[in-house]
Amino acid sequence: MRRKPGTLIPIEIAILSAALALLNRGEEEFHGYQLAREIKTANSDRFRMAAGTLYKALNRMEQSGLLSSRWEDPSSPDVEGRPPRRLYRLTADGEAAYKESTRVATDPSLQAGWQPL
Amino acid sequence: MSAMVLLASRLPRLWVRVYTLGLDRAARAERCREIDSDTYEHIHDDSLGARLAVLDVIQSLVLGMPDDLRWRAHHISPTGNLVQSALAAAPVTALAAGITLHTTGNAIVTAVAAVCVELIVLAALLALSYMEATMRTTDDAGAESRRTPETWLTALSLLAFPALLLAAQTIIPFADGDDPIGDKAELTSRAAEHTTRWVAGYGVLAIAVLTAAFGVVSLAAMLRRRGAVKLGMLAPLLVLAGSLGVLLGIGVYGFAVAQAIDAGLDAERLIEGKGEIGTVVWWLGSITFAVGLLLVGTATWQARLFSGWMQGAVPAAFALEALAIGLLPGLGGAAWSTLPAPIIGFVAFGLVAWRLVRTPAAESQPVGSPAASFANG
Repeated sequence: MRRKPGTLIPIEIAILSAALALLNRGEEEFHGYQLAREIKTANSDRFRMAAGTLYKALNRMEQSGLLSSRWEDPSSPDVEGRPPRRLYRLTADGEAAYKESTRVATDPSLQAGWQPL
Repeated sequence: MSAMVLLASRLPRLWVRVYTLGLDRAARAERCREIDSDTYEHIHDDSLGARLAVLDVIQSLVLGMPDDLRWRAHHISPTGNLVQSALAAAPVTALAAGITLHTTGNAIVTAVAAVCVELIVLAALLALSYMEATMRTTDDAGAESRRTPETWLTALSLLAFPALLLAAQTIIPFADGDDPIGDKAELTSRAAEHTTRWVAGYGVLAIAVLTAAFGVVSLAAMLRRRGAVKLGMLAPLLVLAGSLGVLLGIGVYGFAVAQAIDAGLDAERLIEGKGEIGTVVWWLGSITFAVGLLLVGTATWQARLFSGWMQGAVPAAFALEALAIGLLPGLGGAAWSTLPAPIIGFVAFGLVAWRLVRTPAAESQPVGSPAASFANG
């Protein structure tokens, strides 16, 4: 099923919500697993996002400009003893898209199917 | 780290390397790095116990597989072309399904179904190796000096084939005399006397065929990019078709005869009947395989893989190998070709393997590009 351009699907809303929650806690950059854990916690441990699903969505969201990413410098002391992480960051567009999607979700007059008289 | 945790940490890393086969190198490397990092974080998550981490990793892997395949399909066909997407996902799906059936289902399915599973795995491997060898490259700047794992894998496969062929010829208990399979009674008694050797020998032969098909198809794809366009297309198709025929022949002739002996059936009659069908399929497969080999040899000349007298010597060695394979015992051939086939194979494939590893340059150059030729010697 194709979605309307400019709209977010539930998985993207969940990712943006988790990214915003991390940002509010001072974590400006986050890696994929951290995001998956945040989504799991937000859903009271009932929902585990599969790696393939998560990274496919992250890839798509980065291409749409909702997120940006960079690779950790492998020579950095933080990376010692573990593989470098790909760190994602919520962009202004991503934040705006999330706020817009929650506004639409909470305002019945803006939901699909409603037509003005 | 316990063995279970170690195994669980390997599975996603193995899977990502399978479903990214044949994709753009940079995208592949990035995806692998990301999954490696994710798996590491997952395994080292203190909030999960070791047992829970193992289950969590496996659950995450299995549930994400459809999306991994969709990601692969999207990567190959960003426009969402249904046929291209299906072709992109099919080999990985077939490989995963084939291996799962192979490890779990072969014990309960019939011999014919088991052979079909092997064929599915072979076809998937060949399709993936072809995609891998013809993969698009975005970082062409570093291509000149790069020896890719695919180059090494192709070279090793080419070298492994004659070695495995020699091993199989040694293990299979052929009948004595000039016509090793002509005397059915003698052959049946040898097979009944050494059933384990018979099965093991044909098993090794099947692996040799798989290895050769992998190496030759990859080589043909490389040569195609280096200029041997027409032969580079036709040769792998013939080799693939030939391999399927030989494998089917091995299944019907080699393994079915052993099964009949085990079950106490009249193996001699089986060799006369079912074995004859196997021999014909095998013979047709071998001839097709040999013609494919001949074309690959010619493609090395067309792609200027060698210079000077070697340019003609290598195709000649391939032609001799094709002849020797076509005359191998088991195909109605003569006993004298038992030893020459592996020896000529060592020479022909060894030269190509040496050349590939020594000069891997221009692999990613487009067909027709001046840098695609190996005229520098």
